[in-house]
Amino acid sequence: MIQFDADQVVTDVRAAVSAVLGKDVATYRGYVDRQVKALAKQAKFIASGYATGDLDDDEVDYFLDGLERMAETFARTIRGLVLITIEKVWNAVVEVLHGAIRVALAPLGVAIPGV
Amino acid sequence: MHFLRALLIGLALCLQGCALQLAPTYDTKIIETLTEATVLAGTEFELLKAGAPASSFPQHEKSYAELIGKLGAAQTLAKIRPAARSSSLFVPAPLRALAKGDPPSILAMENMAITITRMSSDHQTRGLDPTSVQGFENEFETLMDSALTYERALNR
Repeated sequence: MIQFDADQVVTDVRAAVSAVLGKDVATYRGYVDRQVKALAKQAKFIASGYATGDLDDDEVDYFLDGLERMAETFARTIRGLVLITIEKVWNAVVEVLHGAIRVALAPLGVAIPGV
Repeated sequence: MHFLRALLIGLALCLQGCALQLAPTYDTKIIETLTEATVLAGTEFELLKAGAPASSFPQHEKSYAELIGKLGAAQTLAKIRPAARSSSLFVPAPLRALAKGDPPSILAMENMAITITRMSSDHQTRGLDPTSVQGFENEFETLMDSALTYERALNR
C-alpha cells in the first residue's frame, strides 16, 4: 500500500515557499529602500547643484547620465534578484515533491536518488 | 496500485531533471574583490571630501588606478564564472528569456568604473570641489550596493 499524504505535501510545499519568500522579501525591501533614498538624494543633489551654480553644465550632464545609469542598474538588479527567488521557490517545491515521492516508494523497496 | 507506483516513479524521475538554475553560481572571490574596492574608494572619498586641486592628482593617481583595477578584476571574475545551467526542457520560455544576458552586478561594476574614471579625469584636469566629490560618492556607493546585494543573493 502506497502512503502518500497529499495534504501533508501541500503543507510542506507552502512552508518551503513561505520560508524562501519571507527571507528574500526582507532582503529586497531593505535594498529597494536604500536605492530609492539614494536616487532621490542624487536627484536633489543635481537640482540643488544646478540651481546654486556649484555644478556647471558639463557636470550636470554627467551626473544626469549617472542618475540614469544608477536607475538602470537598480532595475536590472531587481530583475536579477527576482530570478534568484523564482529559482529558489521552484527548487524548494521540486525538492518537497521529490522527497514525498521517495518516502512513499521506500516501503515498496523502490529507491529513488535525490534531486 | 501498480499504476500509482509507476506514476510516482515516473514523476520522481521527471522531477530529478527539474532542478532549476536561472542565475550564476556564488563566488566569494568577487565579494572579496568588491569589498576591497569599497575600502579603497571609502578612503579616497574621505581624503577628498573637502575638494582637491589638480596639483594634488599625482598623490592620488595610484589609488584611482588600484580602484579601477579592482573593479576590472571583479568584472572579469563575474564574466568568466559558469553561466546558469538549466534543463531547457522544463524551463518556461519567458523565464529562459528573463535569464538571458549578463548578471546585473557586471553592469554595476562597469558603471562604478565610469564614475571613478570621470572623477580621476576631473581631478587631473581641473581639480575636485566638495560638491562633485559628494556626487561621485553617492553614485559609487549606490552602484556598489546593487553589486554586493546581487552577488550576496547568489549564495542560496
